[in-house]
Amino acid sequence: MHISGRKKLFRWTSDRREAAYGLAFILPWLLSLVVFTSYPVVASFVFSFTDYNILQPPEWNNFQNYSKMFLNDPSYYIGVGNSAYYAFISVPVRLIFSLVIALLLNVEIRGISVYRTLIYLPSLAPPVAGTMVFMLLFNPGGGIVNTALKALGLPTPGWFLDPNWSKPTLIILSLWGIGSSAIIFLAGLKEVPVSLLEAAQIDGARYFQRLWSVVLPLISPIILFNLIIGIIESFQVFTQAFIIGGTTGQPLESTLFYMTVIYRNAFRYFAMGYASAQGVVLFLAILLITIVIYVTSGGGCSMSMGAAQGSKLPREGYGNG
Amino acid sequence: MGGQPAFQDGRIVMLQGGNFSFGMYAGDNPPQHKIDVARFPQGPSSRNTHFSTYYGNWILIPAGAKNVRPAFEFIDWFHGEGVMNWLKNAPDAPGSLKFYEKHPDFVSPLLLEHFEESVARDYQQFFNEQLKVAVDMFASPVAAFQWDQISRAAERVLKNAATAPEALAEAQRACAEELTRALQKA
Repeated sequence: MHISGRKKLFRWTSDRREAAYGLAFILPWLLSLVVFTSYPVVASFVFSFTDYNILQPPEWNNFQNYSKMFLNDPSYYIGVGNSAYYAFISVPVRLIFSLVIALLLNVEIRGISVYRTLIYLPSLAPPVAGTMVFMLLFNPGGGIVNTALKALGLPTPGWFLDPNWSKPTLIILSLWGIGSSAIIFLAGLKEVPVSLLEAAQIDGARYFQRLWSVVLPLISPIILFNLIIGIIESFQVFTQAFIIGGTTGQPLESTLFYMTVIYRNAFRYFAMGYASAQGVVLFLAILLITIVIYVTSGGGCSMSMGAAQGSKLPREGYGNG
Repeated sequence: MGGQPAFQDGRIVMLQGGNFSFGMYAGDNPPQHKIDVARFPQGPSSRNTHFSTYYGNWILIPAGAKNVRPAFEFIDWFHGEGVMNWLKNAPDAPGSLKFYEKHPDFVSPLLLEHFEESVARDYQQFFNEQLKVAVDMFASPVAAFQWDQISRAAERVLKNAATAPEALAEAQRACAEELTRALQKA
């Protein structure tokens, strides 16, 4: 039996070496996460209890920012109301549209990859450019949409210039970028085992019965994912609203969203502490909504797609039953 | 000031401006129609005090500069007598009352180029009077908030969401509250 005089504390095994390489490769990303995400999150929480205008050091003011937000700032509730309206309508509309598009893109026809690319392309367009294009399309005076409606003898709304129509128009604008969620749905649909669909078809289930009873339960984790991401995105809508309504949410504060309120407090009124408090409340609200949705959906997973093994044969929709 | 081209072309009848609006006569497309200048109308609760505002174009002497006194004297000269050199090239009006004390009959060369002398003199006199009641635009710690409130009030009136007295009273109340909060912190 050989006993070494001094035991080596650390030895480079191949696993450890691989882990070290991996860590080295992700180190830039980790650093940026800490510097540009983690630190601002913690700093926002701390600043939310201070009076801070950038030029002078922050001064502790306990809960004054929170009391001002809830008791003395009417624009805060306008922002909350507009964002809630937008979220409650745009999220289901976007979910339904992206699912329908994914179902359409899931059929195997000639040139389907071109259609998939075309559907996804708009989500790559910069939001500013997309919004400007929509402003031209929906221009009440000479936009192509109103020109077409007028030609058909239909009423021509004021779209972005009408306080009753500005939010619905923004919701229509939000459909511009549903390509990304449609692609996520499509990935889920591709994982649905064909054997289950065939079994349902043999049992006499029609298209919508197969969709409702087989496909939707199987892609429920994807629906949950898109739902939660959709809610987060909808409460964080800023660029489009800011371009259209500016810092006052024109017309008549109908486009004054929560993020616009935060932005103008931070970068227009230089009330960084107050804006941080609003950011913290938004974070907590989204966290709470996410937890509630996650818990009430039973974790979002009604059936594991991996549990059922099915052949990956090409198919056309869900049969022709 | 986005409406200036439309005003120059005669497509809109009024334009909010100031002595910097002389610049519209320095370009290739000066207005060809007759113009006049007037103060903003006063509201029903006015105390009959007019005022105008100016943005400070600051010239700073860095801390630790060796020749502070000459630097200060240059700035003082530049805003007084020396502004004549500036006005030879820039469409502007003197921003110092001290200048008018020495040159009470001064009229901008640019105005004289485009108007009859009596008209140009009237315009210049108008801006001279405004200078006497000018306050620093940056004096308010809640200036951006005030601008947003004024924009909001104007939009509410234009879209018939409120009457002018209601919208202005609301804006005034909001500004006063914000200003009070800001001053309490100071």
